[in-house]
Amino acid sequence: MSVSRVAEEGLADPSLPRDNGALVFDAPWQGRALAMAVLTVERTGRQWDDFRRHLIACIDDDPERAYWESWVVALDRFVHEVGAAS
Amino acid sequence: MSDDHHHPSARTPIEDRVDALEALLVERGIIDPAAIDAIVEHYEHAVGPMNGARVVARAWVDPAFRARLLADGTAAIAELGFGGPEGDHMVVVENTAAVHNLVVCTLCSCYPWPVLGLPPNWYKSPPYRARAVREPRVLLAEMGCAVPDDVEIRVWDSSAEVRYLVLPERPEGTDGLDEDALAALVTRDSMIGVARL
Amino acid sequence: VMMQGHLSGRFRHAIERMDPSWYLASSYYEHWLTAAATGLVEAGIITQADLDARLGAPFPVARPMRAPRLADPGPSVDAHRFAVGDEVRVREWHPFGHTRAPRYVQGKRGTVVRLDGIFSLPDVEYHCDHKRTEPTYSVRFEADELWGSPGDPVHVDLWDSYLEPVTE
Repeated sequence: MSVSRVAEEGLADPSLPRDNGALVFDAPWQGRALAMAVLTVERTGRQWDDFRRHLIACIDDDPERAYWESWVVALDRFVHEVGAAS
Repeated sequence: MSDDHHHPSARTPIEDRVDALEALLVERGIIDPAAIDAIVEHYEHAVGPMNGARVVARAWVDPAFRARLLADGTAAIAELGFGGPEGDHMVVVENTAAVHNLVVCTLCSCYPWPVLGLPPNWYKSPPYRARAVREPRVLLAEMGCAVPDDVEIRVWDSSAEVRYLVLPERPEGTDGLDEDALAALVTRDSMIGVARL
Repeated sequence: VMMQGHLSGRFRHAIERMDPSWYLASSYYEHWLTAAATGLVEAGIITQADLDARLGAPFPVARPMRAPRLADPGPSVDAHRFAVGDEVRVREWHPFGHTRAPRYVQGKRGTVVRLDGIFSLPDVEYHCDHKRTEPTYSVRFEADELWGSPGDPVHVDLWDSYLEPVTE
């Protein structure tokens, strides 16, 4: 299937955990969190960088925290930023 | 994947949080659950280096296919069902006892997506792009790939429309393996040329 | 290299013109260095060749500023001028706009090893409403020729108009 340009950008994010090029998810919620970030960016007309800024900030806030947990915190902040939770 | 929506047993806090975010986004009409499932499905089956590994394994077991692959990479790769954007003009370069091939894109990060998936970060980095053409032998040694002195390193700079795939030499002691087992031996790095199998 | 106030505008513009994926992965200092180098090259204080010689490799700088639009794409070429085995030299020029001729092969001599398809010339396509198509080649360059010292050969894929015949 073909996916949107935003989905390809999300898929290509350099911070995502990989094994020999393929994405690695330890649990289904991680793949869903990735998909939700992609779809929120796409459906609100934002750029992937708008989400990524939050991801980088969350990782910086707590570098010891697991990557995907930081992702979810970032997603939470991003969702609120785009006004979805207002 | 979508089963998780309907089997809420023993959810961890993080799963609860992901569920809550999804519910919020759905409620606001921003996304729908089917769209999430579709993207996850795509990611799980997204192109990866196993495509290229299957091409290599086929070439190892089938000399006629190997010949076709070296003569017209795009057509032979298409026989296995692979192709598409960034793979419309494939050239396959074979490693031999006398030659080791290395692929780079000095101008940006051109890469044969349909057979190798996404380019690794180091492939896109300015140091790799500069050093692969300037000092490939030293670079490869640093990356853990020792190329014997009597083997020529041929660097291929993907500066136009052609995309390259390296056909590594078949490792010794693999005569008894079938195609699937052989494909499992092939790494992405060996098909870029920064590793030998 | 000290960046003075009057260069800060170009400095920021040079950072903006860095390839985005590169920018996001770079450290602060790599940004600074790229912008500084780009600014100096564009101000004519040093040349790209100076940077490349210092590094011993092509020195990455930010993408060039937008070049003027071309009204005329020039004639398309539908037949390869060169054959496998021909000796060719890459033209040496410093385009203000986009080109797919890597700097490290400009002016260098090599051998055609493969004839490839006919494609739109990016130098034109990026700056013109019309395309110009030309044949492409893979050209082999020896390390001696590229860097002045022994080493391994590099093959570069080049468009027809980048190449001139070598006259003995």
